[in-house]
Amino acid sequence: MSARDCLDEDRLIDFVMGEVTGGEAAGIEEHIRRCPACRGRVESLRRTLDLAAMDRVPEPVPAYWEHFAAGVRHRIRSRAESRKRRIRLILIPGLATAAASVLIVLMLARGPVEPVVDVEAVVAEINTSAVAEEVLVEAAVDALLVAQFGEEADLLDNYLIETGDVAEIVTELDDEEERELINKLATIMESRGSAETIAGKECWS
Amino acid sequence: MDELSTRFAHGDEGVFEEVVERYSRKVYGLCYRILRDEEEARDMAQEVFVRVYEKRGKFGGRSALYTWIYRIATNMCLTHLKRRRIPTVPLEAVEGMLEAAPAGGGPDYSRLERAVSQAMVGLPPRQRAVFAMRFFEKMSVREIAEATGTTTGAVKANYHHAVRRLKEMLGEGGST
Ligand SMILES: [Zn+2]
Repeated sequence: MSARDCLDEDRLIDFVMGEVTGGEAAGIEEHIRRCPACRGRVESLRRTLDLAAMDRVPEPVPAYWEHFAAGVRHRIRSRAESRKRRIRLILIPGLATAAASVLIVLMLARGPVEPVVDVEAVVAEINTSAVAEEVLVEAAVDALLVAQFGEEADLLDNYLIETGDVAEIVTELDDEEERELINKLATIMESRGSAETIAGKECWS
Repeated sequence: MDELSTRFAHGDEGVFEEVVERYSRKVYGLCYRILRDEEEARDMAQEVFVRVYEKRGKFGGRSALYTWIYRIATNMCLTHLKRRRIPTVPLEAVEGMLEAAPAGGGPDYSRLERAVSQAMVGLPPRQRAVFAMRFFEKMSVREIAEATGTTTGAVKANYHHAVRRLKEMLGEGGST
């Protein structure tokens, strides 16, 4: 290897991490022996990772671990209860499965709070998503909750709603609630006319 | 799939407790390494298991249980940071921090440990997540791709960026 064969930094990182094997690793070692510049870079990377290894996770007090499982159970219970209350409130008669993008736009547009959802990104994602139906219901639920409970939008803290992440949105509904919501959504959409009308940009902007 | 994953996928009674028992410390550690705030990490670790419980019907066993849990944890932490709109520390602000002896990390931390901790704060959240899983958890690039919902290429790029940035922040940036 000549100086022209100097390795790029990324490859040296892989090398330092032990991810380069066989003949290539031997070639790099050989090059490093002869090339002070690359040798210096490898040493610098090693020092960096040695320093990084000093990073510590603060250990919580023992009581935290003792009560960890109980704390989780408690949160599960109280979440389940508050969710039941909220779901009842938002199950207004009517709304649609086929046009959740429409629904999101609609609900956010008339919601009392700043939308926390990048609506267009969500819509684009939903339109191309393989898990469209499940996702759109989940996104719709989120949007409904924001619209209805703006002041409690912290409920949404745990959701990822942005480009590329929609498939990750999780539902808090069980299967039965999910079906019920889909039905309600469908009815409302029918009563509100075609998707095109409601999805119009004017509605949102 | 290991035995615990199988039982979890089948919704066995009582398996959730075991899952909490087995992974709570790891999840807390990951949350801390992404959030870089002890109190938030303590809270988030519990919330992650609430979500794991609520989503348990959706764990299909296609990935390992712990990657699935890590994915939930990572998503929740990144979302949390996004909502809080915590600004990323600009690189210039943390350069030379070794000399500056910055605050943070608690009183029992050495100056060097605090500097390292500050450097970690200087990484963008996604790089923190990838670095934590790769460097500290020794997860494979593929596992991390699963846990972060990205490609192996993106994971590698994130890891490379993280190391380069740490190198600069920890004063190892100069050409030797
Ligand atoms: Zn060289």
